[in-house]
Amino acid sequence: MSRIVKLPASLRPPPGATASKAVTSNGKTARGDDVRGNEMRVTLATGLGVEMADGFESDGVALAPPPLPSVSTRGSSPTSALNTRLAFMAHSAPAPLAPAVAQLHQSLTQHPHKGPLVDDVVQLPTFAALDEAGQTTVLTLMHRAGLRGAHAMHALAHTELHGRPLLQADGTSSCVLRSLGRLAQLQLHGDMALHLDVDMLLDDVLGELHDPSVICQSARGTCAATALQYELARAHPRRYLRMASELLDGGASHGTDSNGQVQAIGVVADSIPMDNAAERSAFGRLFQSALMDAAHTWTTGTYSNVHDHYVDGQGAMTGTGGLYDSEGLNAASLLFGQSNAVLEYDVHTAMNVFSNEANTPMRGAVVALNWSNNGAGGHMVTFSHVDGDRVYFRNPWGNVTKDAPGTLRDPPGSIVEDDVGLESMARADFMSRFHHTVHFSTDPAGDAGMST
Amino acid sequence: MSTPRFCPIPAGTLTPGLDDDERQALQVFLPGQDFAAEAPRAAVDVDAFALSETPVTRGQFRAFVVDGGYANPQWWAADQQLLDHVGGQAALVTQAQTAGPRTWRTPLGDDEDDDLPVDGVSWFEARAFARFSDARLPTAVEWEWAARGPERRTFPWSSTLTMLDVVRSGHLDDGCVQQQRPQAHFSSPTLTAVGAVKRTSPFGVLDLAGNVAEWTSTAVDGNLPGLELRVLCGDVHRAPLPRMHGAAKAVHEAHRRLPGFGFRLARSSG
Repeated sequence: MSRIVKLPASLRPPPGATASKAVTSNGKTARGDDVRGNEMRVTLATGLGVEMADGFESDGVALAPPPLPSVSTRGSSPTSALNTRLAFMAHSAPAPLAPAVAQLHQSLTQHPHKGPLVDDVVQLPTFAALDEAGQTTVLTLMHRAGLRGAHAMHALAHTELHGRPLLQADGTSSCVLRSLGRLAQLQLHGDMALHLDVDMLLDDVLGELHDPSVICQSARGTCAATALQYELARAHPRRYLRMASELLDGGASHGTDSNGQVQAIGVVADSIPMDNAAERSAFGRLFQSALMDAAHTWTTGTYSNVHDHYVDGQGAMTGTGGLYDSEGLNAASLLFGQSNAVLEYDVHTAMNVFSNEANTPMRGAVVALNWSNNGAGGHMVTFSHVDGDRVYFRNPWGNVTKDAPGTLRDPPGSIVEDDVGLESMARADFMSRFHHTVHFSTDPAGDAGMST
Repeated sequence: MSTPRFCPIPAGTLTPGLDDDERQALQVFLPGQDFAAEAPRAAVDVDAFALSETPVTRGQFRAFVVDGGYANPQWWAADQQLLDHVGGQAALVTQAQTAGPRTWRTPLGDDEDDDLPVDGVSWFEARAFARFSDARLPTAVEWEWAARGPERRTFPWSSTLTMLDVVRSGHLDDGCVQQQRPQAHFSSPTLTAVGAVKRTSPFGVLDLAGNVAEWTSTAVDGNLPGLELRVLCGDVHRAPLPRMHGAAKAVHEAHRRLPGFGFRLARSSG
């Protein structure tokens, strides 16, 4: 799809420029093919935004790249919780920083790649409105995160949640800043310290919050957990941040299961070391394993990431891998609250709900489909929307395409936007493959049993 | 200190990556993986070179530490600026907070067998040690050529891997009922002394599969200014047997010092 991106003054193309290059939010290069004034048209995958305009061309001759700050956008989906203000917030004359913040800022400006990002952030009115602790949190995160995380934090500082800057989205409750503050002070211990890096985890969490399309299951049977993780990051960034901070800092978060009981969602020990699911982030590995373990009720045993199965105390496998229907409901309850999570088997009822969800942005759904063409095996995807005769969904395989015979890479499935994992299917095919769905509320105020 | 033994690797032409038949065969064992990082690429000529028979060991790396290698700018100068962006030498410490690999619990790493491959080192440390040893890191293409040779073996020790091989190695379970697919398991919970497993490549090189993942000199465009990404070849000891093919690759940030990240040395001929 083509999208008009408004450029800030610092990124406007020089006179005579006819095209521009841009780096999208998943790190790939898009080409702006029509530059007019302070706008350029960029062909982007759905859900992608422009991370950085990195150069302009005139008659094929590359001109000097413009300086940062970068442009960042977020998905244009009407149900996206976070939206970047494409028209950049006006930079005002920055207020004097407190000495400790100024010192941190000064040290960051020495970094050749983070420095320009930080300089841009501290000039934002959103940043100026934060108290000293909030400002320290933002800069500490940009200091401790790697480059990916610093870019993501820079983008998030330009982001709105429900019409307010993300960093001020909670008003006085400051859930976002509390979670960011906990992440900024993150210390790893034991196996976590040996096998994980703080900068890597911050890069993962901030990067996935900024661009959930990078979330994927890779080589693990965690489709349900991944589909829900994606939906949580996309629709409920505050809770995503809180869970991330609790999981990484304290080793466990919590939620309300489908029976209304508060339950821990804890780190699974064998998900800490790197595994061969290389496309999945380290945080994705921890989060998905924790959710697989917490949602499991069908048999005894705990989830093992190494085995991708449930195992007993002696390491022997029990039952199967993956999540059964009721366990998917349980997982959705744990993340989004118990009272609004509903398991639905009737395809016609489900389709009616799907059709209505276009007008109900605070609803989400994951759908289990009979995935392989021979009817064996299931796969869970995140429902996106219905458009005419097509049903759109996000595959938790993410941007890691699979081409194995018998999958939906064969007809009737089709890839819509490979970079973000968006796929579509004819309504009739979708209905014939439908097995069940779990609907849930993504409204943070919708469930008294769940705090953000 | 024992010095690495080098195997001569003749010049040749390699088509890197797994072809469609190989990918489909491996997907029988690992249906969740598409081997995207190992997609086939155009044939490339490889000059003759020498490759160390095994990955660098703890014992060999200790000589570098004892020699003050972490503090000697001679070994770091070429990469110092990049390293400074990610914390400099101060970040390259053992668990005892002394200069050395991350996995060492003691300053000299004598808490484990000297013949284990050194791991928990960044690409920067691998490069510095290579200079210290009057050598260099292999490129990803050189590594793959050494692993697969002119017969283009799928695995360093064999061209085939049957279901029987996988079952015998204990790396296949009883299948995932819901997903209706076999699921491979990891191979070894721990590192193995170098050379102990005689899975020999066409040129006599050992440990090209399944001990440490090995840093190479090959860079990957990170799409962000300053993001230094390098290719690791092979796979770590925990990986399932089918992942230990000769084209196995992963990409990580150059400063990443995870357990299981090691390296071996190369020298140009002539």
